[in-house]
Amino acid sequence: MLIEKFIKKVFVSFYKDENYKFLCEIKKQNKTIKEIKKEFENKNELINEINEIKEDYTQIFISTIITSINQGIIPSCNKHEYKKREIDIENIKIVCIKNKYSFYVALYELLAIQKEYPFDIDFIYSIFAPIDNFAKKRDNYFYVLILKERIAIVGYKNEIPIFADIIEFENNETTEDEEDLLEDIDLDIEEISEDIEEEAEIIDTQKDDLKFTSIENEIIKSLKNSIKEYYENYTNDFLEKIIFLDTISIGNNLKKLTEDELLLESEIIDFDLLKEINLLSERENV
Amino acid sequence: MYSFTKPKPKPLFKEDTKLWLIFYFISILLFVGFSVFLLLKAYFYNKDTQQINKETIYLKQKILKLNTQKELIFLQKTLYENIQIKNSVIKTSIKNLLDLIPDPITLDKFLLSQNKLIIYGITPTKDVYNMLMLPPLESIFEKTQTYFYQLPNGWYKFKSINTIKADNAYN
Repeated sequence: MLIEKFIKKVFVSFYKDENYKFLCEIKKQNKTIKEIKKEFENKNELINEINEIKEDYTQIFISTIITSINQGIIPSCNKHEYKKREIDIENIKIVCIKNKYSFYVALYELLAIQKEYPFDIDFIYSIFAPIDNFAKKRDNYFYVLILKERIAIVGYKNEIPIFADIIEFENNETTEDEEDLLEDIDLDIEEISEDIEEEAEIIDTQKDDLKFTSIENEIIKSLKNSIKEYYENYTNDFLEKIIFLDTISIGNNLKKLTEDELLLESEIIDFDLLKEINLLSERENV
Repeated sequence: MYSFTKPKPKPLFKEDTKLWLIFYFISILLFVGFSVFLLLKAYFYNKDTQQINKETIYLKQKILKLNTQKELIFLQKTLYENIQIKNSVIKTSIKNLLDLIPDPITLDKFLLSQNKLIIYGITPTKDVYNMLMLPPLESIFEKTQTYFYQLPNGWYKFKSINTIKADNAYN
């Protein structure tokens, strides 16, 4: 309809990581005229924010991703392929992409996320969808979406995602050994005279590095397992590169670690997951 | 494409916006309707004006024609009246003339024109004529000429030419 061109469309995306990430893009004739990005500590704040937006606009499209492990990618749209992998097709929802591969999610996860929020969610995507949409090089490439509490990995071969995995970090906080070390550092800080601020700053940096290292280590540890599984069960071809889609500003240490530990070339790309989700919704809405 | 769910249809406008839009739409419709009404009215008014102008021109032409006809009728009327007056004068003149004729004299014919009277007749004698007929003729006409012709029986045929000035012709 012609009139639709002149009506503002609002694309709202959100997902839960260590807190609720929220992005609202108000668009008119495919141009963003306003953007609101927020983070909320609890769900009610998110609900209030969305309800407020819903009061002002009618053309509002709310999207989110499912981050739980009860989902995956199958390099085929054929249901026999699901049966082969012992996936009960009665209890999953499947989305076929280009008739080549498909995303699936457990139905109860889908219902759970719809029940969790009091507003209608228009688009619910697999966590792998924004990765797949973003991935340009798709032969022997690993894409790793990094969130605070989990990573999602998609492995490509001959343009098709043949491997997908979600690894939730068991403890996002520092490990016990690291806690001890941190306590020691805290003690050290107390011992050092308050006048020596510079030294304290250095120690703080060390402390931060240690925290980051724990996440990076978790990622490398998870990747090791995934790559092992990938080589064992999916293909014999060597991976060319790992692309990290970074949503938490992880820093370059990870790249170094990957090269040292996994002996693989890597690249870290700042990834605005919320924008990517809205991009998908915008395309779905055309 | 990627989504596990499909969005519900979204209304383009909120309920109160819809009400406002309906109100605006009705207002615009009324405005447009009234404008169209005025335009049509003006159009028909112009058309009527043109028609009236045409009729006015036609009636003016008709009035001119009627005036011409009226003048002609007046002229005819005047002419008719003149003729009537003339006829009555002639009638009176003839009556007067016939009254002039004495008993012994018989008229054969007479010709009456505007300023001339020619009388043909028979008289027993010239004296009868000169005594009884000539004096009234001379009193009326300015000039009287009489020619006699004797008949075998002794009576006279005569021709009397009497003229009068044109101005006094029918007085």
